[in-house]
Amino acid sequence: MESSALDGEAVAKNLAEFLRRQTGSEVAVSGLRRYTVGFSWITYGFEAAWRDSTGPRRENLILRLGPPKGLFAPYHAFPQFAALKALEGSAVPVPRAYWYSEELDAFGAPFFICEKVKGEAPLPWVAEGREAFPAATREALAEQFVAALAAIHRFEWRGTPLETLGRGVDEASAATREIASWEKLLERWAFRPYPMLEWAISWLKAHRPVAPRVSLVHGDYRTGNFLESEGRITAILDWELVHLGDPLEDLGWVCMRSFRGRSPYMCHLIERPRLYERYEKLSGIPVSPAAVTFYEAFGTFKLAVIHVGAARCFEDGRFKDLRLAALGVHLPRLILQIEATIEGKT
Amino acid sequence: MTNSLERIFDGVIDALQSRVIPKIQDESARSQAYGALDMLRNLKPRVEWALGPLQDDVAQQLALVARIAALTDRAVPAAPAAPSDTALPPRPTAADVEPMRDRLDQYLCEVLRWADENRGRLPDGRAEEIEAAIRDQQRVRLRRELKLTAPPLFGEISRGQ
Repeated sequence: MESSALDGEAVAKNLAEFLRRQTGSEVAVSGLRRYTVGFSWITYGFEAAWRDSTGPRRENLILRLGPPKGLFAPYHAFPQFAALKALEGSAVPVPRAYWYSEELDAFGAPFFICEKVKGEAPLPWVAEGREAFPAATREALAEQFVAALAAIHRFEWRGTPLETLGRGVDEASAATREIASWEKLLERWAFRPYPMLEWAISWLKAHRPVAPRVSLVHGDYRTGNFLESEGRITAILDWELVHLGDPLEDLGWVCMRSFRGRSPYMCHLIERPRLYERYEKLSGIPVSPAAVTFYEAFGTFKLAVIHVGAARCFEDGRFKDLRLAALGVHLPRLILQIEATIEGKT
Repeated sequence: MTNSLERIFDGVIDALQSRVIPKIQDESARSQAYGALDMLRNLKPRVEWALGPLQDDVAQQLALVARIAALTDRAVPAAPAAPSDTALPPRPTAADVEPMRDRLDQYLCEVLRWADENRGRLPDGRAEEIEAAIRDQQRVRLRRELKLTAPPLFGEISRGQ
């Protein structure tokens, strides 16, 4: 399934060697653990101990690798690393990013290393009719969730390395570029035709909104991609789909049925009118409900394309993770959700 | 289902054999897993996708092809040509019907693209009528698929517990 460079023992050995080169000191790597979360990048947690000019150091760290045969391969570590680095010290809670490399010599895959932040990642998938959070926790998290999103969208990316994440994109072209990029992925991955997705593409092209501004867009902003500890959001994670574009794209993603089931709370956190109201207040960006609906439909289309990609990856035998085939099983549900969203039935 | 039946069988067998069984410490649980593995290896050459739903799909697609022909009669530019090889063997298998369904879906995609590109040249509302007819047929299929689909275990899959 994966190259031998990605098995546990080899990862620990290569990590120690990479860190030795970065720190100029012998580094002891211990407690290496592979996390099951995520279907694309591979995530390990570990502890590193070394000695620098201040004395002995011990850090809990995260290694994220883009596997050479993974879903979105070939991967690039720079966008995630650049986003974390740029947002360090901003109002967006992010793990501190230490190192990254696009080279394949250490692990046979691009990777970056960042701080392991305290907290758990609550998941958006709960049994129908059940609440994901107790009311008080939900309200506390909702406010922080919207505030962090607003801070991402307010962030001044011009003049930072993040400029390279969307050269030439402007308010008029933001949606068009995203549609084209995901249409291309569908063409690359589909191993049979999907008339409903074809129709969805036409609809999206005909209804694309003009962005209120060009912002940093997280691309996968939802419950499941933040860490929470004692009612506090400690880190926004999973910046794999980060790009420059329409900030309302993230808002549409937050509102998707896939991340709330039948709950009235978007991402199990906040009701739609309140979300719009708090977001507008905190970001200063006006919310167009029609644009959010567009991005909700587009987000569901993206998710459907990801499911097709997962099934393709498994069918080709590139990645033998059975979870990819399991994603593919649920494609009909997503395709119906795209249509329901377009028709305002969500 | 999105993946092929053969690949699903091979994938489940491989996962059990190389990733699950070696990690099971309890002998009794391991012997049950070997039982499951044995069953899967013997089921694989004996099963195929259910023929009935596939044949229903193709019958509905062919009815739709006839409707599209009426809706696009004498259209300029001409609508894409429907597949001509739509005859099935007297006792078809899923392996015969599945490629036919996909060919017809490919044709429906081409008609959707054509209708979209020529919206302004077609009589008022005609492109929308074509789209609605195709969506209706596809929706019936997707809803039937959904009825057969167990609720997702995304939480368990993500956490491994």
